Amino acid sequence: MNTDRYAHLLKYVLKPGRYTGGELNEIVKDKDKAEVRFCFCFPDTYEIGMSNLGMRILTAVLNNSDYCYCERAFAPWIDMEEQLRKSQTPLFSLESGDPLGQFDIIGFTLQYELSYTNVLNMLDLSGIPLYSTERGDSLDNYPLIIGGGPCTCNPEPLADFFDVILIGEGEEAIIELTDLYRECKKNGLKKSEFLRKAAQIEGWYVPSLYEVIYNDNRTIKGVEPLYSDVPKRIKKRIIKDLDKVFFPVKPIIPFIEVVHDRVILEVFRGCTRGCRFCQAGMVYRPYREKSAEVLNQCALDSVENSGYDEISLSSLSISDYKQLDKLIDKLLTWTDDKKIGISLPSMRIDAFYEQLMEKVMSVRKSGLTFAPEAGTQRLRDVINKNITEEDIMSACRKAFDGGRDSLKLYFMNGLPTETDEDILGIASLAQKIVDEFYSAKRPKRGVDVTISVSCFVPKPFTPFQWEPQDSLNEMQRKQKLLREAIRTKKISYKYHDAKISQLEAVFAKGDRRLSKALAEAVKVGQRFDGWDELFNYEKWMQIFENTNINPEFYANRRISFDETLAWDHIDIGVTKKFLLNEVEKAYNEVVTPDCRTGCSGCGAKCVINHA
Amino acid sequence: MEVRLFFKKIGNIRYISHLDLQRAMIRILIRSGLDITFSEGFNPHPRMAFAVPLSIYQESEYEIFDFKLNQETPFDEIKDKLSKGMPQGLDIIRVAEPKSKISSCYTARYRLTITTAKSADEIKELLSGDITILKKTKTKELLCDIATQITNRIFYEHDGKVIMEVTLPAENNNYLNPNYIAEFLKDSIDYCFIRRLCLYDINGKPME
Repeated sequence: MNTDRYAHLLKYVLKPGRYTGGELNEIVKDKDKAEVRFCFCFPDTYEIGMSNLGMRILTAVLNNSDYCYCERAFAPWIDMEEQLRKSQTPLFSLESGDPLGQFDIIGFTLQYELSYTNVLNMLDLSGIPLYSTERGDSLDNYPLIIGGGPCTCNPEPLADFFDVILIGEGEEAIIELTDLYRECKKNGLKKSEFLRKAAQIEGWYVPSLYEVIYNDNRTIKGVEPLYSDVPKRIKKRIIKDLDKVFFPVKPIIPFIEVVHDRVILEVFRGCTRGCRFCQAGMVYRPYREKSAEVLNQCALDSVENSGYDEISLSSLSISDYKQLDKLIDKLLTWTDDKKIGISLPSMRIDAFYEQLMEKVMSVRKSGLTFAPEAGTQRLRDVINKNITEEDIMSACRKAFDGGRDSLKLYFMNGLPTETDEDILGIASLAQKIVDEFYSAKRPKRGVDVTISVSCFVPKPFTPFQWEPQDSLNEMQRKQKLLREAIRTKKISYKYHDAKISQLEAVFAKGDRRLSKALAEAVKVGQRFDGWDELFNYEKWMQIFENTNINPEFYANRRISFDETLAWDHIDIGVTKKFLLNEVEKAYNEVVTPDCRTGCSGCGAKCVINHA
Repeated sequence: MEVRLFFKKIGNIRYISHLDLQRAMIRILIRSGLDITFSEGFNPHPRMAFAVPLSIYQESEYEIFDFKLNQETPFDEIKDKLSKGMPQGLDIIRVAEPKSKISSCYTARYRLTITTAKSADEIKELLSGDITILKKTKTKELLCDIATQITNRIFYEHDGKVIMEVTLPAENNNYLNPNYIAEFLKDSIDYCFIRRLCLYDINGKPME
């Protein structure tokens, strides 16, 4: 874009490159020829948004169609926001530099609950009314505001602000919606007419076409469609054949350093493990793989088009990929020559692990992380994390034997049924790993075991969705307990802010009544809640008080199994019956086997060849 | 073989810092498909060097950058291969054999385009005496007079703006950022747009 009109603002911000675009492989079209102008918004900084694979895919999908021009915008950092507000300049896109208000459709991706305030702040910075009812009944006045991404499995906290929300995967659905928009706009239809049609497309949820009815005790009685042609439940969209779905191999190459500055290869969707706290593991079902041949070609093309020197294989649990060995071998036929590293995040600890790491490590060494999640076998069984202490110890032993002297372990505090014994188990497991290091002759430098402990946040569509989150006091007591149980400097202990996790729980399990809190938050200047330095708990408590909302009702209340949930009208694939069965098994400390061993009938209807 | 790339950095890309440009250059080299010489070690990266860093917000008509290839390659071919992957605003002027060490750069010429209510003469007058600024380095701040370091000054008006062209030291250990001049003038001007025009060696000849 021509930045001359913004030069006086950009001069005063820390990283102007966040707002100016012009990166290699950026797609610039003639905006006057575009029939639908789409602005894809990521409600966090450029560095985080540009690392997001979903954004990479969907912007490319949209630009692949002739009539649509899809540009990008990110949440401006506070220094830029100050400049924009001071000069009364509306937020603008990176490609054309046009204000967001000039677009036909603004699409937000909702990756985590703590970005909700950024969504509204971006609308506010664009001079667009927050509530969908305030935006009129014409497709010409204001852009259509749409959303998608993992958080939309419970879309209710944002329901009052969005015109349409996608449940599930977007590659096909987003084009179907823009097609419909284009046609309706051409024929001069009203927004309400468009929305009625949009509600007919599978996966697209039009919140304004549903009414929420409450019980006297503040719980939800039901969510009912207003018209008979509007589906009672919104069915999640999935892509059936991942080998055939569009995948961009010309990634935009950011100038400024972003979080994931590398080729990201999506290897499969879904997960067969069934960890009971994990939302992604449930809502991304069914399990579907890409073939090694397709992935290898994607990797080759992406590297050639980007100049990246690292390929990251991305999926929920990468070692579950059946063709992993084959894929790695294919990649290694050319990556070594080109000095390209392969990184495997989210590896599981098992026998396969070390042999694979040996292969991959031929170019670069990266950090080792494991996620036991809980400190005792009992609790690991409750959460269905099917690894044993012996698995963990043998993986550490191999890592130490291989010359490593530092590793990181992820745990969670506040899991259902957790006792103090489970918490102390985290410290003793870490201690055992340290002892393991010193049990053999090793280099003198010593060992560094980092344990990073997050706070459990109950999420919709998991077996733990009915569970209360620990109160703030209890969470902080547990954090202290663990800190005091660690007796060596060889173990570094990091933990998440329990207050931030509470807010996350509120919005994860929230309903439409939270919209006034979100609107109020924007009014009082609260945003970037996921950023420690900008999160303000006291301010949030004030916001909840002002809007007459009790956060504990959402985060810390045990929901009875027969209560209607705010997200019951969303059909995510996995059935409530399955989730109920799973939580029952959790209480009984009974594990559920991996889907590959036997089908548990979760309802997502995958097609796996059982071993 | 050693290769010197002469290029411009104009437009939006002025918002990209020197550090980010270095990373972009690595990608450009890798994308080109040329047989680049890499460093040894755990994290191999292309062997490369810039002449004089260019500050963020500044444009340049004359930047130089050295790298190495494992085999002799015609300069035309090198230029073609690099051109394909250059982001907008980074334009190749030419590719040639380095005639001097890249560290032999001595001075740089700049054009400052100043938005101000003052005339060229008034700006010239403001800069006629001591020019004392607070110079910041990584470790300390100190007040110093940079008047004698600003040479070959030309002032004129164009398009309602005051234009000033100056030559400043641009050695590795003696480099003056033209932004200090804008800083010094900040109470008298609205905006100052800086473009580097050329890099010279100790004899005042453009770096070859």
